[in-house]
Amino acid sequence: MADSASTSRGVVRLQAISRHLHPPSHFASQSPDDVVILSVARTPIGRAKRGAFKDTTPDVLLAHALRGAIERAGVRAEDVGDIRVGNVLPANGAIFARMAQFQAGIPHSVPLAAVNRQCSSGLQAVADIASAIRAGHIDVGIAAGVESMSSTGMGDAVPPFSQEAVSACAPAADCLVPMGITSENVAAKYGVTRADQDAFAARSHALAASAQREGRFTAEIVPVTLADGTVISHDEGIREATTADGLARLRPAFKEEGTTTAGNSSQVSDGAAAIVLASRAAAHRLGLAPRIMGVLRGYAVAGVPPAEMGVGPAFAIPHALAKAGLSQAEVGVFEINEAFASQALYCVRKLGIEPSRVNPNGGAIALGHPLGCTGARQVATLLHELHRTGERFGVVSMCIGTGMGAAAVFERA
Amino acid sequence: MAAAPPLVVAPVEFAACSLAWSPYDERRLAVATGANFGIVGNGAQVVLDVRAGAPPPAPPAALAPVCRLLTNDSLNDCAWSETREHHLLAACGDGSLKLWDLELARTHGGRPLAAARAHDAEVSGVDWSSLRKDLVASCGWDRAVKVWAAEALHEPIATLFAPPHGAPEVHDVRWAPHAAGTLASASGDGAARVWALQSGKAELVLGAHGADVLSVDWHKYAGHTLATGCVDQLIRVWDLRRPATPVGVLRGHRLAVRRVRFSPHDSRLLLSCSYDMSAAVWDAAAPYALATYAHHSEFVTGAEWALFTPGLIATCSWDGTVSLLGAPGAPHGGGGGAALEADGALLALPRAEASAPT
Repeated sequence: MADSASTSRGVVRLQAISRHLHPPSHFASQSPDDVVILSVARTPIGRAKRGAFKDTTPDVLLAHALRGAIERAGVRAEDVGDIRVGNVLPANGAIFARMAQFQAGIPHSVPLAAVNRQCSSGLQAVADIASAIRAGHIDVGIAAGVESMSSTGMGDAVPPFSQEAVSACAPAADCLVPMGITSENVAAKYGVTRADQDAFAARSHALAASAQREGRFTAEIVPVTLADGTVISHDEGIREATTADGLARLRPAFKEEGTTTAGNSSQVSDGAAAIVLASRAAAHRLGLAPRIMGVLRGYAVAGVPPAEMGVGPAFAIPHALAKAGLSQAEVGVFEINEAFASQALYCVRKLGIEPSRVNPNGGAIALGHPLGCTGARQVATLLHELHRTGERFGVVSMCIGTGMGAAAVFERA
Repeated sequence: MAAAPPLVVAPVEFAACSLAWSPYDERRLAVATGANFGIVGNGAQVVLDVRAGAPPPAPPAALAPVCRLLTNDSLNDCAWSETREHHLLAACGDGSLKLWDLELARTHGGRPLAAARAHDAEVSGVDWSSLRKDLVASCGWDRAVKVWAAEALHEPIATLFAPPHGAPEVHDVRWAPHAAGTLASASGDGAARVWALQSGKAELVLGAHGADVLSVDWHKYAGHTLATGCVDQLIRVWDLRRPATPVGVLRGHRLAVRRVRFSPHDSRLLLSCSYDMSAAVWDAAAPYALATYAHHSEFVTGAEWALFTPGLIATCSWDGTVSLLGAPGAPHGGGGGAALEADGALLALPRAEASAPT
């Protein structure tokens, strides 16, 4: 029979083993100030002007995403302190976004603003809501992103400016360099070959196709009911049959001797995504702690030359990791937006990221790149991938037109 | 990734907690064990000999018991003397260190040569210095790392304390193989520390873990390289010249990493074992395991490279067994015929199937 001293040693041993099997968070303590993600929801991504959403306006897409995110979070709409919507192309996205809020059943007492940091707008919305939570302005918020490139095209986006002043200022003039040409600049300057770009693009389609086939997107997607009652629940851009050889036959899209083609660039798309965030304290107070999917651990935006804006992630990712106190080796999944194969591949190589950890379910080349939506869509995909694989840390990053990169670090709950 | 079967599996009755190869006898293994998964009840220090086929050098064919010394609490770790072939030091769950002379113990009813109250809680690890052969180190769940003269276990030479916050457990202690008087410890406060015996201070704190660090080991060829195993499932490789973040992270274990050990023969290879019931061999510079061993049916608690036979590995587990394994890519013939080319070698790894004699 064990004596009392050995019995109490046994209890200590059991407690130690239990802790080893259920380790605490990487961060020494789970702070009540942590900004946690309670839910993610995104619409399927449609092909602009030809796809299922060609006649669907962005307010309708956004309303679906907002409703899905709120339902999944289990939060009461009136408890939401603010909504931030990333949107790029329309002149005043804040108006239809407010309309979408009401369509989603969120009362007028909940405020809303739009944010535009180009292709990172959906992620910037997450950062804005997280900042407001950390500052104590709100306890619960929704970050969203939406773009209907069927409704508003890339060409409609540039407002009036002074030709004279801009042409006298080289970097300002560089803000007018078409995105495709910035891709050519990156490919030429850093030696990313056409063959490498095509192989990367084919990989994106292959990975997205297998993810779709295995139903990996199902949990993040909220189906959209069209005006005629049709229900859309799958991404449209994925082409399973795409091969590097097939892509090699496409003509350069932006420059005669160029390497960037329609096949190794992101697709023009329609889509929306929404994420419910809260302070950990509020999540517990509202009884939503079991819904916590992850924690935002760091965010950074880096400026880069406008004419090679695609290099942005190579600068933003190290900044964000430093803010989070993590080394790159600890990150299991990277969602790096595939604006162009040239720039995505350059960033992966420059940072020395293990290729298998990058966009394991494909990226914008296959799924599409609805500008304002993309950052929020990537967060949705990342969090589900972290839970699927058991990886602890993930990074979302993208390049930004006019020369920036943004990156955020998430920890799985 | 290859999942290789074990060469030999032998029972040791109690749950095994750790093991150590003799630095004198290439066949001899010591295994620290405890009843009821080491949680409550007796412990036993088991010593086994690897029996090889004939003629030598030949692959291991069996593990034969040499002796089994009962203790009143579980044993967590053991270390062979560097100066006396039959001396063995054990870390006991009741806070004591026990030093056995195996020859004497056989004729004296298993009584240890010396037994000393060493820590205020569980002694979790012991290591015998191979450079200062008169010194041993112990660590315990009382936040302490202690250094002792092997011949005088009644009073520590030095007591090194980790900071008082966080979990009190120190889980592992290892002497540096290249610098006398330098030690590394792994502890429950989420850090590994490098200690200088002379100053009695932690020279470096490797802190980027965030959860219990269960194991630490020195690279045998590069003195600035350490590996840690953490309950967050990750093995981290550290360069002490740049200690802020790990230089490598090896992922693959699905639960806490219990032990990490660099190969004494191949500078690339790292051995690990885990609560996930597997052991694995890694190229420390590559992100994925070269081989995994999944034959155990409980936590794998010990994994050690044989000192005389390159590529030979012993593992032990809470499932009450000890097993012998062959590492992939062992030197002297790429996994086949891996006998140490010294006179009188008794053990060899079996030839790989591809090169098996017909």
